[in-house]
Amino acid sequence: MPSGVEWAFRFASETCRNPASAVSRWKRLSGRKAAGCIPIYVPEEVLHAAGMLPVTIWGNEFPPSPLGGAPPFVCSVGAGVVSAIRSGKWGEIDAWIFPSTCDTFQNAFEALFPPEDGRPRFPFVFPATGDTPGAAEYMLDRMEAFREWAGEISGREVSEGAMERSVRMYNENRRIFGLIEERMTESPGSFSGMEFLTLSRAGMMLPKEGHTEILRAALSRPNDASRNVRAKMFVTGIMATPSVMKAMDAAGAAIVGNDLALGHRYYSGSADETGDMPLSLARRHLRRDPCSTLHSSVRPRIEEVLRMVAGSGADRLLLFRMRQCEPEAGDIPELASASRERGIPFLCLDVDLHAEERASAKVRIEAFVEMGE
Amino acid sequence: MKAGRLEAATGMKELMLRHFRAGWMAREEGRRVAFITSGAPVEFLHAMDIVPVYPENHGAVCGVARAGGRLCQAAEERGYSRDLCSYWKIDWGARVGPAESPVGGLPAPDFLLCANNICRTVVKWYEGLSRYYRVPLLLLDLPFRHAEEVPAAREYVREQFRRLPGELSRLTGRKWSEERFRETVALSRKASALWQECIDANAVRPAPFTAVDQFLMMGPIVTMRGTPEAVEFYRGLREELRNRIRGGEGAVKRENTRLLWDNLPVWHQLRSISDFLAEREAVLVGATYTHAWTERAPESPPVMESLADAYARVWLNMGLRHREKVIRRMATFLSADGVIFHANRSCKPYSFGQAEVAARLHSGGVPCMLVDGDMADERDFAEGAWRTRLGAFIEQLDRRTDPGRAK
Repeated sequence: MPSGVEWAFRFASETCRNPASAVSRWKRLSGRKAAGCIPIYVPEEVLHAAGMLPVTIWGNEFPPSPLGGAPPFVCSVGAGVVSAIRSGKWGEIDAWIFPSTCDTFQNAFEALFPPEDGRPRFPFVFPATGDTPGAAEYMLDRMEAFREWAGEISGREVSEGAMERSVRMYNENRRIFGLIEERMTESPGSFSGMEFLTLSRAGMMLPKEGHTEILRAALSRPNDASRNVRAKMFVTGIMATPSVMKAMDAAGAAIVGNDLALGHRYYSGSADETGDMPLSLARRHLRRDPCSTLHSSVRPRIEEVLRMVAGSGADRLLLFRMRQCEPEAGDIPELASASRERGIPFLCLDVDLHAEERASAKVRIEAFVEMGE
Repeated sequence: MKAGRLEAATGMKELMLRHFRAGWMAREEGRRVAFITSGAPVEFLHAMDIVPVYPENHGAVCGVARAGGRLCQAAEERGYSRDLCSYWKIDWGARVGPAESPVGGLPAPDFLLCANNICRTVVKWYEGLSRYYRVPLLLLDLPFRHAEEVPAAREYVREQFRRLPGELSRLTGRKWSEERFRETVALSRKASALWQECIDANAVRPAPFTAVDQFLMMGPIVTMRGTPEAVEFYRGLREELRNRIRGGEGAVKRENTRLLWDNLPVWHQLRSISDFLAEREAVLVGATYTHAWTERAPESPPVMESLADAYARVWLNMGLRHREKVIRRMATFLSADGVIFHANRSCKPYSFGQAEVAARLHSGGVPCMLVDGDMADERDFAEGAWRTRLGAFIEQLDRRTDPGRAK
């Protein structure tokens, strides 16, 4: 009989291995609907309050299909989403939400669905910055429209009380995830890269109530002092793949901080638990931690990443560059220079979900770990 | 094969040289320089006598001169990815190696004005420029419109436009003149209307000028909207086109196949593509890219609001259904036999979705072809593949229109 901790990791891991089946199981048991969320900034609390299961689709849940047809200049996240939908995968999803994260997702909203696919979809076009006057009013209007849409789709009115409960639930989930990150900073190696990826990714497919329990169970595991940590890494970028994480673990690299879109950027920042809930969610969006897909003149991203690197005690900065991702690619040269100026070695590693170069990634990570030892 | 050069081309060259020089001369003349994106409301700058400088326009100039590849490579050596927008990389390359640019690079700006209605990439690009030059960045956030206009989005954009004069006054120390602004917008409207008349002139057979000519003549409508020079230039061009039409003179000596172009041009291959088509008696009669600059502020509501509304609905800020509708309308109006979709590696918002638009048009009886390339980086151009595909497409169209004529 596995212990609670082992069970938690096993469950999260199984969810990541077969997300569609996890969603299907939830739907069978609950009799409710699942909503597919294109990364990264869908206000999931609204869907949760409507009784739906928000499922974040990262495009690597299924192998790419020849029916995909995404052009070569589209990133593998976008191409994966297109491929899965066009080839009839993700039948478990009842409705879709496409945020205006980047040009690719914006266009994908219109380009990818075959005419016979009549599932409801909502384009969440949010302000690209919180700096502009009127951003809060505009975001609030979109939030209200989203709330109404979610109510219609689910057949359940999204009441203020339900939203309040959902906001609390999500805040708690983020808080506990923050504790995992804190543990990784304070005790390097306390969670492996693969464990971190699993815990983070599973939370984007499971109901938050269950995911919080998994995180609590993970936190209850005593630290393993025997782990040999050769390098303390801060990782940034959109996301890392399992093979890259395994390579980092094998090389003795411990993640002590992160700014991954599939990681800290998804989980950080809580919403106010009192007052008007749509306004609270709108404010949360406008106060987000700096992200390559958003503009902030108050907290520029490069400075923020470097501040986080310093706070984490990392001795290396590793950037996972999603091929064809222009928002992320634009920051690379300056981030690299600024990092090296501070004496922090920097490595940029290309990530392509459907064309991984595992051997070369492994060699580069090993060399990066050995560097300066 | 092709008709003589348009006289307006000479005036155009001088006008654009003056435009580039104005940026360099600005400081001596006590004027401010602002870098601006092609979708941002330049009327505000002209109304305040600020010199607008367009890094995108510079990218196109470098592309035409086939300097794009070298400049992109310089940026890649610095760490920019190979798959990043070539205009952005050219801009960086020319900053570290201005001698490679045919116009000697660009002058340093005093501030930046960026609108994200053409892509989200420009926001990152301009953030980098702001750090590099240590100058303020004014960002206009114009939400993408998938279908119906969202009233809150309209108000959001209008509010930003209303605040812009105050921001510009703060940055330049100059007083805002509402009257001058109105005059500028009126001139901008006039220039856009004239530009539309010019490109609509191609509805006749033979077409008096090609879309390649349009690409080369669009500099003033991009950079000088709101100036008397732009109005004068397009008035002159319109007259020249009218004369050609009166004389029955076409852009190519024999016009058989009429085509539309979607996306930015392949700047570094303008002549070769144009010659290739002319040899096959084919003519590009229109382009969605040049057509996009016919968008203008309506007479009502008040000028600030109408300008905001116009900039919110530029081509790249609108959904694919809208684009499909416009292409279909253009194809009918210009009697086009088919559409060439340039899948431009550097411009994701223009290119992602082209295949779907092409498929819809095709099912509605409009023949389409897609071909890969890059607007300004000649390293991403496979000449052989282009020739083969274009040739085959024209042959296919010839068979449709005249089964006995296929070459």
